[in-house]
Amino acid sequence: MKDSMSLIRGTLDVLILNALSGGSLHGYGVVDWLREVTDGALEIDDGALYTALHRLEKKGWLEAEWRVSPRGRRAKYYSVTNDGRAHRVTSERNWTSYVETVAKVFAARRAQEA
Amino acid sequence: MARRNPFASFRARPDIRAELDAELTHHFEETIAALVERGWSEHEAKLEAERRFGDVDRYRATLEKIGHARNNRIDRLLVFDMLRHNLQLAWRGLSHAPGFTLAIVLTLGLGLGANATMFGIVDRILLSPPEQVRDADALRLIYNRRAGAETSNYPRSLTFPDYEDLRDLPAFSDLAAYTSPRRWTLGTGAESRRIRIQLATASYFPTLGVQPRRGRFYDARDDTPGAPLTAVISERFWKQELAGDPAVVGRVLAIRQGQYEIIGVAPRGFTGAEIESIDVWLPLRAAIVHERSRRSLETRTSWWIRAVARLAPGIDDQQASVQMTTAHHNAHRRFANLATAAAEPSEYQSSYLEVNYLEQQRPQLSTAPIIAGRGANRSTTSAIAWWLAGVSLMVLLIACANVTNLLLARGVRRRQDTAIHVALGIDRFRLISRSLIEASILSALGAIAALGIAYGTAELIGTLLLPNVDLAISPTRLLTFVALASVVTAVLASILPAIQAGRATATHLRSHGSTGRRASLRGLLMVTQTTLSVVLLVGAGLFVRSLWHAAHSDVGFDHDRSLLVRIEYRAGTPDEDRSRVFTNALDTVRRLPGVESAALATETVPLHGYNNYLSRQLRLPDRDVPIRADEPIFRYAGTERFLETLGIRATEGRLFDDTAFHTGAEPVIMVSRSFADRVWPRGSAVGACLHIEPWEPSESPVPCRRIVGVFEDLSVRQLTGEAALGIALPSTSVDARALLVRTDRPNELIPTVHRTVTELSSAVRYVDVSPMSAPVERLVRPWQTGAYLFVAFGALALLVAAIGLYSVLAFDVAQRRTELGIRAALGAVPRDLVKLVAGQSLRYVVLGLVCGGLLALATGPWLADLLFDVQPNDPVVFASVAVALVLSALVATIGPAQRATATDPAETIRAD
Repeated sequence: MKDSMSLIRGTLDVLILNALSGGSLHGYGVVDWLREVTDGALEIDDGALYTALHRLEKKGWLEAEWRVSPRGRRAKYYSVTNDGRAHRVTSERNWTSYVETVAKVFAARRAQEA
Repeated sequence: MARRNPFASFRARPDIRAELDAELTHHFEETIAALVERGWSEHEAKLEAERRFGDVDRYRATLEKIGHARNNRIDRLLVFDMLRHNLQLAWRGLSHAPGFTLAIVLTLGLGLGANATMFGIVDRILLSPPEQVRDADALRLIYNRRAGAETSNYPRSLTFPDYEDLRDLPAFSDLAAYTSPRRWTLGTGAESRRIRIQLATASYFPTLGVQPRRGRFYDARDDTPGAPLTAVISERFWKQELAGDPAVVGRVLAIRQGQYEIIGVAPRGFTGAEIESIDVWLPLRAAIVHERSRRSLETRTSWWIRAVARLAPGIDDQQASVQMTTAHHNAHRRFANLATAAAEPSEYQSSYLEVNYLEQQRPQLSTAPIIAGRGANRSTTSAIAWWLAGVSLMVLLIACANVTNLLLARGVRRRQDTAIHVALGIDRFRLISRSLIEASILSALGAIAALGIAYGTAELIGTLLLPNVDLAISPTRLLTFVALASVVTAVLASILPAIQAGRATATHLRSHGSTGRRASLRGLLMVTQTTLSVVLLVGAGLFVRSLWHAAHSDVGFDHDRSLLVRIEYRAGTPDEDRSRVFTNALDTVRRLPGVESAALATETVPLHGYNNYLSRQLRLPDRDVPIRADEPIFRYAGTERFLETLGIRATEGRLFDDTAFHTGAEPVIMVSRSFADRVWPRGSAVGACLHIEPWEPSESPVPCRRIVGVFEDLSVRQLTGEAALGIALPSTSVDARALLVRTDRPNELIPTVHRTVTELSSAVRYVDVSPMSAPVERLVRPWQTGAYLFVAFGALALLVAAIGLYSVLAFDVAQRRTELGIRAALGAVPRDLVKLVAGQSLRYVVLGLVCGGLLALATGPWLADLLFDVQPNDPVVFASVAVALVLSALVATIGPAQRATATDPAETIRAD
């Protein structure tokens, strides 16, 4: 089923910043982590994730560095910059309050129905 | 790489494609490996990885685009970073050498400031149309160039019928006539004063494309003889003189003999077709007929009109000139025929025929753009502006040479640092850009100083040089100019130092002292600026001498010891009342303390307008007077002692005695020196006699007047170049033109005389008391202007050059401290050290003096026309300039020389 959330760009940014908040990861690492924590519910092209990664790097929210991966391959590792961290905090707060507001609306309607 | 990047060497710029390849390859490898670990077959894992990724080609393209954008951003950051770094470096360098910085900023400030000031003025006068004028490109001033020295001074004059001849030419879509600004009296009695009036036809405002700020402009109906009198006032007049009265339209101004109702206010800054400021515009036809007579509009012998036209589309100046000249010649030919044919030619018609306008003056009508800088019209004002531009540019060049020199000197001093940088591998580009940035900072600081100077002085200088022009300097244009000029200056001044910086090599690490070539380059610069300063100073000297000569030139009478009193009457004052006012004024003023003598003048007053005879009216007992018909013979006449009152001297014979003024006395006359020499080249004029034919033929025979003396030639209209043929007569007439007052202290007496005469009679409307020297001051103005201009810029040039010399010497001394110390240790006495430091520079100054002197001699003849009684190679001027220059060079040397002699050998050597 392809009825999964069609994600707006900003959401993707927050997800990636979240993925990287634990430490630096390479591109596949980010993709893999997101798939794992969402149980594959996010039906996003890996290509779109890379696009977002690069855009965040251009914006200066991420910085990249070439390192050797545990498998002994050269890989590009991303980590969150201070700017990126600041952005993550604000956008998470916005998201949470948005979700809470929507939830209140739902709760209110359920209360009426009940 | 796709494109060359000048900053490529400064950083490791990621190769976008290679990185993408590596990153995506890694991604697919990891994905496939993970899937295989979970039991997928190699083949299926690969397909799944591709499915999960999406359209690879599309994503790749997007990613590449992002990559390029990122790289550009990095470039910008790097450039900015480098700039900031260099700015910091340069700023640190400059603030560590405050003396050096100050010298350069001051030099540039003065140089740029002089140019900004100049620009403000030149822009207003030469490059911009008069304010508020629309579509100035098609507007033309009309010129009437005539042969003959006198008429060529008034190249814009037409008669009113001449203007009307041009009105219907297809060359023009609009045409208007106007007059030069006149000073007419506003108000009456003690309240009265002179304001600046321009008479203009109703077509004036539409031709210039201007809209009223308030009310309306007068139209053709208002500009008709006999129509109710109307006036348009300037915005400044409204604000300043009428306190911005909101009900200004409808107020009445008493101007001269008329009551003019204000019907409109011109927009701010509007000065008509020319740039001299105007207070009030009056409808030309209505006003002149009211003030004078209808004849002013009909006569072809009175050239009092100027014209401005808008070219019709597709017409050029050549076509317009041909059309105008043809129409003008045809009209005058018709008129001359009419005048000849007339049974009784009127006075003006016969004098017109006498002058023979067409054949002797050969008038050529032409057009020139209203923007002075575009036309070939060389008015005094635009000539001044051009001189101003040239002279201030010279100051800027001197300033550039100076700054270059200082930067070079600094470069030499810094050579060790630079050598270390080069040895450390800092690339040349950085060194050059650093020196460019340094020059830019300096010139920016200079520009700020310059703006201050320009704002402080532009209007002041404008008032001084062009007193009748309202110089509204446009701040945006001034700012733009200063910005551009400072960029040019920065580039000019930093070329050599940048080359010097670029040439720096590590070998300089070990060398000391200045190298020969660079020293000679600096020498050349010093010679150049001295040369230019000398040229300016010579110009200053020549103009100052001219001014002195002009102001002290002998005009034939004591202009500095007499006052001229002219009276304007209220409208409708009968003639007998008028003459009574003058007679009363003479009696009263004569008795005032401080007045030596007073008299009435009834004819020409030297330098204040004139009456003249033509030779056909004079006759010797046996022959005609041998003087050409078109040469004016000025006639002076006055009451008792009028010649003594003016301080006119007899060079032969004597002045009139008091009996000559009595009725029934023997008719006598005096003639001027030139008149005597022309008519009696070999004998004496004294004792001879001269008949004067009256205007109207008369029955009684004209008595022969005995010549009692010859008086010195008087300047009638200008200070030089006049033959000034003249005769003087005792006058018993009471039809006075002016009251002459002789006194030791003319200026102190003005208020007393003014009050006394004003209170004499209610018929007096306005009393004008002015020193007889006033027109001399006006005539002297061109030389005064030149003197102000050259002295100001010459002094500036000298100052800038002296600052330059001083700072270069100071740098030299600082740089050669070790050498001087060693010399002192080896027994050099202070004098040797001074010679060593100053000798070389002074030699350059002397060389510059010689070059500048030669250049001034070579360009001198060009200036000769502008000088007054001074040769362009005047030795006094050249000698004074040499002395001034050497003196200022010596003054500039004192400081550095003292520092050189104060060198303590032990200390300096230890310090190194």
